[in-house]
Amino acid sequence: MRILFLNNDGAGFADHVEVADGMTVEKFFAQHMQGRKAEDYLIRVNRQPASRDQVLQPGDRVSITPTKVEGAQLRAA
Amino acid sequence: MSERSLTTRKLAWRVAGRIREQLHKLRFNRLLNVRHDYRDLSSHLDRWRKATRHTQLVIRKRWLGVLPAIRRSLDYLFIDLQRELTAARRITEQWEPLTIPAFRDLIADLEQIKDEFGGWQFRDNVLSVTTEPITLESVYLGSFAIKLQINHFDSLDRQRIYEVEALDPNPAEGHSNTTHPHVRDDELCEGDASVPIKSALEQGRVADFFLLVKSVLTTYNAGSPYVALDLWAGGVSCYHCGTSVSDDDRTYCEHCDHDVCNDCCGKCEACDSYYCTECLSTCPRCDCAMCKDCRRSCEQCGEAVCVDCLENDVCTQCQKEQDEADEPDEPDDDGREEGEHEGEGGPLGLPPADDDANTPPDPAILAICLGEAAGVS
Repeated sequence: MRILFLNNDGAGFADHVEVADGMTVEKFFAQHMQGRKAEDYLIRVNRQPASRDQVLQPGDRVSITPTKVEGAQLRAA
Repeated sequence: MSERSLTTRKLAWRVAGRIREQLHKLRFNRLLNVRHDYRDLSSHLDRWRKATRHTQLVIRKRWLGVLPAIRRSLDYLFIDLQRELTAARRITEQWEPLTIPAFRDLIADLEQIKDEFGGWQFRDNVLSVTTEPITLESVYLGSFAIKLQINHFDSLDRQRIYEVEALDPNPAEGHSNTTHPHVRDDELCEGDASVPIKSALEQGRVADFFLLVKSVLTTYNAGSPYVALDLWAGGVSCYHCGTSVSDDDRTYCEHCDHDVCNDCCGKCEACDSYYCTECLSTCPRCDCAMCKDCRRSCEQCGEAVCVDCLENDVCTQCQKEQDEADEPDEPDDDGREEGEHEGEGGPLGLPPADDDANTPPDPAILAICLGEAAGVS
């Protein structure tokens, strides 16, 4: 099945991805955000908070947004 | 009817409509840019068409003499065309038409913003949300309003279209315009969030935009703040090593106009003033620390030395060498000039002269040796 995945980490791309039936939010995160900790991200399914064992459905919209992003100071060009 | 009196739902539809309208403008602007990006390729293709016509004319008229020149000119043109085609292909690969979000998606985003931030406001084409009060490393910074200029989406590629305003400002001591380690003059330095923020805005994902800005505001990057949090209440950061120093312990370098810590400053031994280590250098003659004002170039060797090691614009070393060169050669004790006899033999390989200068050399030996020397020459 296909879902819309919005990854706001790094390049911030939005893309349709193929996932296996019965895929949970926890497994999806582990697959697509390797090496990252789920607690450092805001995970939303169809714009709603999701539990880790929530099973994804066809056409779902999953957005993953980091909660810790390092700003900087602007430097003159 | 004013915007205030509209129901939230109607207002949401109005906001969504404005965002869609602006994204359409942004898409059109980018199409114009693409046309501009291909301009160089177009001019080279015009050159190619002209060259083709010229070549056909030459062949028809049988002006075979000019063919080598045409061939050289075409070779250059092919190189230019190849370069421009590669560039045009790169532009095409990067270019993707913007997808304009549907009304329902934008409405759903506004609903999400309400859930995440407790509400949103829309006034004078500004969509804004308010964060919870933020405290970073025990420094209270207060709440911030994130204000998105809805009518500036079309200029997203050229300028920042949002502001971050401190609602209960606690600016850094001595920096009234710095209300957050990463906010100055209401402008957020996005750091690692710049790419995802831009992506979210150009795709009309306003909820993700606000969440990303909030994530930057609630995170402290000690590596690159406008003002470090440990200096929020006063003091300065050493310009060279970044160490926090109190006002009493800092040294102001008059040469570079920066404050530095004790480890990064030194004393000029020529004028006894203190400067940062970057503005001090070591005199190659006496090894003392010297500042820029007490440094001079030697007219002879060009080296920068301290004022104490310079006399009449010449450094002590050059002066010494000059003195040595000016001294007349002193004769040896035996009356001969130094170097007159080198090694064991004298000039022309003759044995050293006898200590007694009045004793003439053996004429037989002299004749033989001179004869050999004459033969060699």
